[in-house]
Amino acid sequence: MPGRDRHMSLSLCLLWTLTLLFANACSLSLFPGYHPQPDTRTVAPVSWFQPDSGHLLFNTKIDLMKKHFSGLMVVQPDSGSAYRVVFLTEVGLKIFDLEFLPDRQVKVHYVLEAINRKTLIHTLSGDISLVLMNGLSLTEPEILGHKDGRDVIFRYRNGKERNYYYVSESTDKPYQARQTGCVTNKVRAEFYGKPATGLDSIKIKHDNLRLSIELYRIIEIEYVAE
Amino acid sequence: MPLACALFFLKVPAQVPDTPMKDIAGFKEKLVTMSSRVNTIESDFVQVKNLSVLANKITSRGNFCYRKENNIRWEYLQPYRYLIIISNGKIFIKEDKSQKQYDIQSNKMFQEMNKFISGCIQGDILKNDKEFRVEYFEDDKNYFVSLVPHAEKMREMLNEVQIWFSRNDLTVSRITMIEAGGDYTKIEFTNKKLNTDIPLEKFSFK
Repeated sequence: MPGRDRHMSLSLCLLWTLTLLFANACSLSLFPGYHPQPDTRTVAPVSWFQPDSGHLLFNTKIDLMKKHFSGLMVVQPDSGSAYRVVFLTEVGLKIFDLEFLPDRQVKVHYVLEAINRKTLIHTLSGDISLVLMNGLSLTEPEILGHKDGRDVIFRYRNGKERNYYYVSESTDKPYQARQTGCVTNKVRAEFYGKPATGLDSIKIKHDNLRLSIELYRIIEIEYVAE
Repeated sequence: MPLACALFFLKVPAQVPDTPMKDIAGFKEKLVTMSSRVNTIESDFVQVKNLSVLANKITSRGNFCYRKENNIRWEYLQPYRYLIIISNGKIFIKEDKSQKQYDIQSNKMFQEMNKFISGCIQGDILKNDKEFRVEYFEDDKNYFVSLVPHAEKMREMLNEVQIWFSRNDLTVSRITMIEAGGDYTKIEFTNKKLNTDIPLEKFSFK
């Protein structure tokens, strides 16, 4: 019997190792040319949305299935690592108001009844969270380097999901973010902008869902103090 | 609780007249006379959106045109471009690259929006005491009307609508829409011109 137990333990161990290898290989197969590399960079990617930077306003277009929505997205980073994100129509009607907390939780302050669907809010908040990069400091990233020595990808594990941030050598701001399950890409976000002038636009596209979100920065001419 | 109430009222945009209107019937009559004489209105507007979570308010500017009957053009020019035209039972919306057209009757929200905008211009909204509790106030420059929706569902979205009518010409000089949490949208109308020639093409969908 002890021999049988040992045999079962070995089998389980082998199965577990194979699962881990498979999972790792699966996720890496989504990033051809990249492989884990020793920690050569100590600086993790930095969010385009900096604390205490004042609010950023975006002209926003959301295409879900065959439906098109437009409005204004306001992102207000606070002094900690939390963000408040409010989506409004152009005429000022509030559609949703979400708070992204440092522990990755999302607090729903308001959602217009017409769109108050749990799945939709979960998906939208997941996408926004990916581009805000909130809660990443809770996890130590793994670094994937390209065989040609080009850009670096920082991988953050969060439960079943993996968030990947592509960073070029010239800046600590990511130019692309991806979220994957084990074997498939779920969503990718492209960032456009320059470190000196800040973010210009973001394009988010889902791989398994007909959902895309485009945010175009609006430069506000005047600020009215509170 | 008194402190919470006090904090809530501190959020309300600007001082509002608190002297009850002496002659409500007279005001309504003048409004009806004015709207019968006015065929067109052209105005600039400044919209200020106040969200309690923001240190600064979001300000946008644009242009508004009205021509009898029920032709409305509402255009944002800065800092973003957005156009809404309501005409002939249709609503037309133009963003940066896309434009769409809807039948007002096809969507309850558009019906309400149309009723609200034209009701504010023509003063019909004051007759709508089925949907709103209407209160009247005044000061030396303005008549001020407060509309509080009766329906709880509506109040979750919009707690109160405040309309300022200029004493000079009875036109709307400001509208403030206050949400349940105290956030508000204030629209101020400036450079108002009455009965100028606004061609119908301004309200056509291109």
